[in-house]
Amino acid sequence: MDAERDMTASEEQSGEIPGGLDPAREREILLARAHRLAARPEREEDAGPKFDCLEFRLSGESWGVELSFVKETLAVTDFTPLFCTPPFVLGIVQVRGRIVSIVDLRRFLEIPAPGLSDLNRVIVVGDGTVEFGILADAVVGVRTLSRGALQPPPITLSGTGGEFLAGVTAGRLAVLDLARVLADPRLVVHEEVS
Amino acid sequence: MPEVENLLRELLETFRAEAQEQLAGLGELLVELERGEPAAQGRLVEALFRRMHTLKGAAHAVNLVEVAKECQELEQLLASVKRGELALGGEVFDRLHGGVNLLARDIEAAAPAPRPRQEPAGAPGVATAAPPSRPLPSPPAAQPETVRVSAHLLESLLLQAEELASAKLNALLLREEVGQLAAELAGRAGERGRALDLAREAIRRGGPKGEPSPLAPLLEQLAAGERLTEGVARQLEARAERHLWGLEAAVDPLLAELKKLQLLPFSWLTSPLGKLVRDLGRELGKEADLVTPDPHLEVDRRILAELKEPLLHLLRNVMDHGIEPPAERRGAGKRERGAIEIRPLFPDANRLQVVVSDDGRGIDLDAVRGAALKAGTVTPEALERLSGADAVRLIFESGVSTSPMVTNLSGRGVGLAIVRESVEKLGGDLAVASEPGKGTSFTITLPLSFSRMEGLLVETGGRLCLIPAQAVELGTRVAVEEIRSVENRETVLLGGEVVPLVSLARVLELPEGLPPAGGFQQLVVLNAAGRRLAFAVQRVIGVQEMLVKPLGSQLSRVRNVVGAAVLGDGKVVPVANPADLFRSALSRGDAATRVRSAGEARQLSVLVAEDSITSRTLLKNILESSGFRVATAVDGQDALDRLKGERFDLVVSDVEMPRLDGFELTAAIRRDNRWAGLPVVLVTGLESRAQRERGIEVGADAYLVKSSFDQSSLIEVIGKLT
Repeated sequence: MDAERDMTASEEQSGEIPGGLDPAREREILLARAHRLAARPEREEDAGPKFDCLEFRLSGESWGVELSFVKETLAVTDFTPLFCTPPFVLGIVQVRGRIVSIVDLRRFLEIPAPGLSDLNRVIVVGDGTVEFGILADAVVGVRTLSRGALQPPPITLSGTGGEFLAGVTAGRLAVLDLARVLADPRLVVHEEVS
Repeated sequence: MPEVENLLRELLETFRAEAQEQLAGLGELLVELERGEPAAQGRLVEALFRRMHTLKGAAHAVNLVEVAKECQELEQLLASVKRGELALGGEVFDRLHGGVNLLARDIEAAAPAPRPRQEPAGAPGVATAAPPSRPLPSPPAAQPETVRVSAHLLESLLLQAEELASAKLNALLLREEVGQLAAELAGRAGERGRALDLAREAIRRGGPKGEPSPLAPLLEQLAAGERLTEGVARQLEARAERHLWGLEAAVDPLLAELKKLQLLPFSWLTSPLGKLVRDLGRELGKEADLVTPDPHLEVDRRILAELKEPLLHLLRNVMDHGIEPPAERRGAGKRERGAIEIRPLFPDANRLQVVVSDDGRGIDLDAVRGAALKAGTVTPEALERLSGADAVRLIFESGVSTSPMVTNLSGRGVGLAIVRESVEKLGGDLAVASEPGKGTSFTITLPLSFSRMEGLLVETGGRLCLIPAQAVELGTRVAVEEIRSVENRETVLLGGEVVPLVSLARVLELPEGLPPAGGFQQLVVLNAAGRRLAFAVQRVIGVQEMLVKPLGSQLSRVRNVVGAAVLGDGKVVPVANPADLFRSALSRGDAATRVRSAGEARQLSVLVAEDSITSRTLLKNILESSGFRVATAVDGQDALDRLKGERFDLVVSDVEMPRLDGFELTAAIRRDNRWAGLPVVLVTGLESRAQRERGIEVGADAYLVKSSFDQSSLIEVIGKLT
C-alpha cells in the first residue's frame, strides 16, 4: 500500500501532465492506474467489519480518521494564532463565516518530537456537539479498512497517545478513535481567569 | 394522519404563546390588586375574571381539558369575589397566585391531546381563530395590522443580514486597493511621459547606423499601455466606489430596519417579575414591592431575553439577603414593605444599563471578607490590600456566600456568580454599590448589540486584537518618563487621576513586543464596572465595526477572549473580553505591570525568511514564545532588503524560496562585510547529504531538517549561536 502511494506521489511530483504525453504512454499510465484501483485489497483488510477512513500525513507520519466524522477538508493558507489557549490549540480559521479551531493532534496526544508542519490542509471533524479542525500536511485519500486488521497501538506510546488510537495497520497507519477524542473533556477548552 | 398532528402541534404552540401573555397579565393584575388600591379593586377583579375566562376558552379550543378545568375553578373563585361573597385577603391571594403558577406549569407541560372524534380534521384552525366565547373583541382597526412570526426565523434573518456587513467591509477594502493601484500608476505618469518622449525621439532620429532601435517602439508601446492601464484602474476605482455606495445604501437601512423588528418594550422583561417578588416574599416571610418605571423604553428582544436569567437571580438575592423581615425593618424605622426598583437607562447610544436597587440592609463588608477567606477565594494578604470597593466585588465570586444557611433560594454562593458570568458573556459588566442599613444597588451594563459592534483594533506582542469599544475610555500615548512606579506598580497620570498601567501583551500571555519607540508608550484606557485600568499596547490602529463570532464548539470559553471578528481583508482577529482583562491584570499582579522590563534586558531579534505563510507563522510563534523579537521576510530578496534597514542578531531561513533561495541568501550575507558575524540557520524540507554540504559550503551556521527537528532543538541551536 505504501509503495503504491509512493508511486502515485512520484508520478504527480514529476509534474507530467497527461495531456502532454503521447497517446500510447497516456493509455499505459491510465491502464496501470485502473489495475491498481481494481486490485483486491490486502488480505489483512478482509477480516471484520469494514469502515472508510480518511488518510492524512502529519510531520512524516500517516494518520487515519473514520470518514463518518469528517465534515470537510480545507486548504488553509493562513490562520490566526489564539492567545490564552492550551498548546494543542494552534489557532482559528474562518470557514464560510464560521470560526473553526485548529488542533495539533500531536500535542493533544502528547506525542513527542513534533517537527514543523507545513499546514496545508485542515480536516474539519465533529460529532454534532464538538467540532474542530485537525492540522495536516496533506490529505492522502480515503481507504477502506476492517476492524480486524487493526493492531493495538505500540506500547511505546505512553501518555494520552495510546488511549485515543483505535489501532495501527500493518502499513503503520495510525487510526484515531475520534469518538473518544471528541468526547474527551480535555479537548474542549473552557477556562476562567483564576 | 401526520398532517393533523402537525396542525395540532402548531395550534398548541399558538396557544402557548397566547397563554403566556395571558398569564403574565394575570400575574401583573394580581400584584396590583394585592397592593390594595380600594378604588381600583372592582376594575382589577373584573379584568382578572375576563382574562381567566379567555384563557379557559382558548384551552378548551386546543382540548387541554385539565387546564380549562383549573381556569374554571379560578374563574369561580373570582366570580365569588366579584359578587362580594368572598373577601379579598391573604388566603384568597395565595389561592389565586398558586392557581396561576399551577396553570403556567401545566400549560408548559401540555402535549397535544387527541381531538374529539366528532370534529372534522380541518376544523381546529377555525376553532382557535374564534374561540367559543371571547369576551374581549379584538382592538379597533386604528392599529396597523400585525403578523406573528417565529422569533427563531427573525433571529436567523438578522444573523444572515449581519453577514452583509462583511460584504460591505470587503467592498471598502477593494475600493482602497484599487485606489492605491491607480494612484501608483498615476505617480509614474512623469517617468512614463519622459520615456515616451525619449522613445519617440529615438524612433524619429533612428539608431546609430540609421536604422531605428528595436527597443524604442517597444518602450513606446509599454508606456502607452501603462497609460491605458491607469485609465482602466481609474475607471475601476470609480466603479468600486459606486459599488460601495450602493452596498451601503442597501445594507445599512436593511440592518437598521431588521434591528427595529427585534425591539420590545422594556416592560416585557420586568412586568412578570412583580409576581416573582411577591411569591419569593411569601416564601421568605418578607414583603416587598417591585417598582419598574419608564415602560416606554424599547430594547432588542435578544438582549431582554438574555437579561431574564440574571435578573431572576439578582432578585432572588435581593429578596433573600437585601430585604429584611418586616419586624427588623420596623425596628430600623423603615416601611414594613421593602421597595425594589428596576430602572433601565441609556448612558449612551451603545449601552444599556439596568439598575436594580433596594432599600434593604446593604452588604456587610466584614461578612463578605470572612466568607471569601473561608471559600478560599482570596489569600489573607491579598484581602488586606483590597479596597472597600474591590472587597464588595467579592460577592460575585463563586462559592462566596454570607448567608449562614443554605435555603432553596440562595446561600450557596452561586447566584451572583451566575449573574456576573452571564452578564460578562454578553460583553457587559456588573457593578455593585452598597450603603449599610440603607440599601444596595446593582448596575448591569450591556452593549446594545451583541454581534455587531465597534471595536478598537490594537497590536500587542506582535498580534492583532480587537477590544469592544464600549469598554474603551480612550486610546492615547504618554511619554515614557511619565510612567511612574507606585508601590512597585506602574502607573500613569490621566486627567489628574493616577491609573495603574499594565502590559496587554503580558496579560494575554504574549511575549513583550518592542520597547516603546520615540519615547512614547501607546496605551488604551479601559473602564469596566466603574474601574479604570491603562493597558500598554504596541500600536493603536483604529476603531472599526466588527461582527463578533463565537470561537466554535471546541473553544467553549477562552480566557480573556469573547470571540473573533473578521476584518475587511478576511483576517480573523480575536476580540478581547474586557472583564477578563481586568481580572487577569489584577490577578497577575506585579508580573503584568512591568511594562518597561522589555527594554532593560535587550531582546535578541531574529529575521525569519520563509515563503510559506503558515510555516512563517509557526516559526514566528515558536521564536516569539521563546522571547525573541521576530521580523519576517517572504523570500531571500526580501530578507536582504530588511537586513539593510535593520539590525538583527540571527537569520532563520527556508531553503526553497522564489527570487532568492536560502543558499543564495546565505552566500549574499557572507559576501557582505556588514554581516560577517551574523549567524544563519537554514531550515528546510530537503534532506540530502548534498544539500547539507551545500548549506555548509555557502556558510550557514546550522542546517535543520523540518521533519526531524522539534522546537526545542531550534531554540537550542539559536542559543548556541547567539
